[in-house]
Amino acid sequence: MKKWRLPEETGIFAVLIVVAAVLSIMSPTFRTLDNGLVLLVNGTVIAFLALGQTFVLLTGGIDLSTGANVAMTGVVGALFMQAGLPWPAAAVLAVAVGTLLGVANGLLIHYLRIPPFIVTFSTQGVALAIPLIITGANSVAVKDPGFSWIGQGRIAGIPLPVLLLAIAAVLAALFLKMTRPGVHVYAYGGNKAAARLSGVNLARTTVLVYAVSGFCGGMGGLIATSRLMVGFPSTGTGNELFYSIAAAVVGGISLFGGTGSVLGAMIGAVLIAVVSNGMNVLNVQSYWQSLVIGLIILVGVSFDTLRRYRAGKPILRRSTGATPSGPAASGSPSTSLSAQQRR
Amino acid sequence: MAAGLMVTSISKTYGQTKALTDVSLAIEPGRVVALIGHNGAGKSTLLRALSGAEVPDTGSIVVDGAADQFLSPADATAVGIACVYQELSLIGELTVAENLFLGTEETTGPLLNRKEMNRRADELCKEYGIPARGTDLVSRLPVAQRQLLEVVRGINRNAKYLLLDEPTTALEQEQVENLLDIIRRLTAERGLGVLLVDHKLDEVFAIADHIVGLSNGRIVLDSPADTVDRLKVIDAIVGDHATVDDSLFSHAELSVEDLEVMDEAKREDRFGDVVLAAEHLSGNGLAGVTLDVHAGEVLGIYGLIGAGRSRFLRTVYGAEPVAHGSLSLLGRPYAPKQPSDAIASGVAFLSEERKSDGFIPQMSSVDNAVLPVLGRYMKSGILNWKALRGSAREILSQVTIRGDISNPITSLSGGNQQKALFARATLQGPKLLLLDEPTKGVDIGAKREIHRIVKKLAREQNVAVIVVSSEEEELTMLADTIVVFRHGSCDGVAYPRSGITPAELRELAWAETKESA
Repeated sequence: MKKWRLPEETGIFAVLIVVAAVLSIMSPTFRTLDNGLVLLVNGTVIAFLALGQTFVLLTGGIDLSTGANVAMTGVVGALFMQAGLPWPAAAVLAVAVGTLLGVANGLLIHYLRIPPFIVTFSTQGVALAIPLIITGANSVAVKDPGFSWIGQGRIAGIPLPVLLLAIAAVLAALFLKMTRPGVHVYAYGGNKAAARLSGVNLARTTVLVYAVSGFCGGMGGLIATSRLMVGFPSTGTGNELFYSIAAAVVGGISLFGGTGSVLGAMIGAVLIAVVSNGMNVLNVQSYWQSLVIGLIILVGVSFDTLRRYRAGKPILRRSTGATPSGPAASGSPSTSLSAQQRR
Repeated sequence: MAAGLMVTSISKTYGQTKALTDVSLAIEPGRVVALIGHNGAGKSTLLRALSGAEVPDTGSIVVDGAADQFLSPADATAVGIACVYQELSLIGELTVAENLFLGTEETTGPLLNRKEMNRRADELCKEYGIPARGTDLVSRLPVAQRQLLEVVRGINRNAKYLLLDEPTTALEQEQVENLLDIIRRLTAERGLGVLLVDHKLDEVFAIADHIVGLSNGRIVLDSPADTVDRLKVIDAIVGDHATVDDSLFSHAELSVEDLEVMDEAKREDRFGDVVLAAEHLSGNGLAGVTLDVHAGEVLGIYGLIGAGRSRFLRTVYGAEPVAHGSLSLLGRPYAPKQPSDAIASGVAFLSEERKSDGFIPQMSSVDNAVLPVLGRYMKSGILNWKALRGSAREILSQVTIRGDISNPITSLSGGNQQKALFARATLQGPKLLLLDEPTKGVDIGAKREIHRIVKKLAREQNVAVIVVSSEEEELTMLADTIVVFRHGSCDGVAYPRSGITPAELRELAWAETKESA
């Protein structure tokens, strides 16, 4: 008697469809294919950050340094090219630097037992300052036209950033579902002590998730820099971090760890991109964007908290059909449940 | 009515278990009552009833002739009952003075009068022989001083009755003396009435005016301290009372399963080779553990709570470090640094606290079961979920779980969760299985089934099993041989199951106190 269950992502997907439909009715500009592609391209940096954030949030941690990582890797990449490196080499090195920041986060969190919030809060400051110090707060122009391919190229009509993101998301989803370290990420976030007793290597898992987040920050830095062909020391230091967490959380990634999927986080990222693009198209002042997205986070987290609360008390879900019987009815919900199960 | 804390025939039932039956006792001002009894005898429940944390089903608690109802925790504080539990309730990040005056701070207008609080805290520390100052952070103090501080805090709130739950377990001899001195002074000078829960008979006889013994929730001893001797006390609490559990399991049924003659043959002949041998394992809560367990043997570990039984299991599993001594597994030196090492060596472990470190709540029973063995169904890094879940389902179906095993494991009842975790251990195909209180909090049916699974693993798959339990009856039924832990140590003397009764086990666990008599 296997029940067919709706995927967890159904809810957020429905929200996305409704929001997109409403915006399409309100604005003829919104519903064009071109705008759709612009929306997706604009959303890739945040989606990449959300992808990395997903790994971290699944373990119950948080990565606040990811936006600053975009600025750092963007400028570092531009500087490598200025120094004469061919752009592919510069790109690989920049992403490596981003990954390294993540590895540092993971090592500090695991071995010094500093809470993730504090570690990544501090490394955020460091990562913000490095490009400013190196460039003296000036932007670094990229001369190599080949580099523009990353952010502006297209394959079969699909913008390359969107393609890169899609490939990364599919690989990430497969990794989390189909490999041992991936399953360990969920176990870690679900119950760290039990995971350790089940043979999960906590050090390796911690470093892994922050390294993935660092890698994704690096990818974000590449794309942002390539689209502008300028390494700005302040790229990615605006609302990007905030939006990336928002995307993951509304996509069903629990801030408490252990539940959520890459698909959900990506739908969340598209939703954020849709909201932000839709408000632009409708000429809503940009100041409103944070407010709306802040509210979206609150709603997402409230749902998550409610779900967790109910998960602890399954009777709330089951009692709809069953009437508690006799003496159990006078007891608490938990006693009536155990009475049912004993039978 | 006379002054005193009078408990009259209170009873408390949890589900099918009678925790307290018709318990009466009196704590008079200026006197010390020692409460002794075995694991699960009802001491904690009684203490909790007195401090208002638990409401008894029937009976009454009367304080100084005033109250005629059961207490809430706030009532208990108001009438002057202070309880110092084993788990300390001080806040580590606050200072000694801040802790002592928490909730009753000294103020001048709207501002805290820190100077005055620190001064009085210094005085109190000096008076009670705590080498600390009011401005010290509590987290920096050793456990012993915190324990004393907790007592002082109780007294400082004008407590008239002080309930102490095994206050000396974490203390060194000298500190014990100091604490006992303080109790003596408080009773003599301030007329404090004290109820002291203590395992150590030396201390009990050194300080108690009156001794109350509990066994299976009933008072089995209630006499002035000078009219009883140690042996009488031990006899009373050890007793040979038939228990509820005894009648629920029939020995006849179990003897069918036990084909071997228990007494005659040597352990080595009846079982296989030595799987795990521990030699003088010590440090980190252990004080010299020597024991061995053979393939196909179920070795029971008995002892009082805090005797190092769980610590030993967790050390063998690599969850706690080994300080001194050595372990060998299947004849080879064995030094697990983390649980994954133990798993790789063929050791499986079931934790006592399912919820805190047993399972991943968000995962289904199936996924929980496969977690330690993911690596076995992997091809170039990609998991074969079909094979994984298939094997898990097969094993889970053998333990008859009631409930949906593809729902999160938290949807199952405690007993079924435990069976799922047994399935996990079975799936690992361990050579050594470590069980910490495997039937804690499960109903009788699940308990019986878990016993069956354990025996099957040992008999049919030749697994060496070590099982820790606080229930004497469980051990004398489940284990082939039993060793006893006392104060972190174990001499490795293995008693055959058929040669020992629950009463004798209890006596062994108390033996040290008896010998030093």
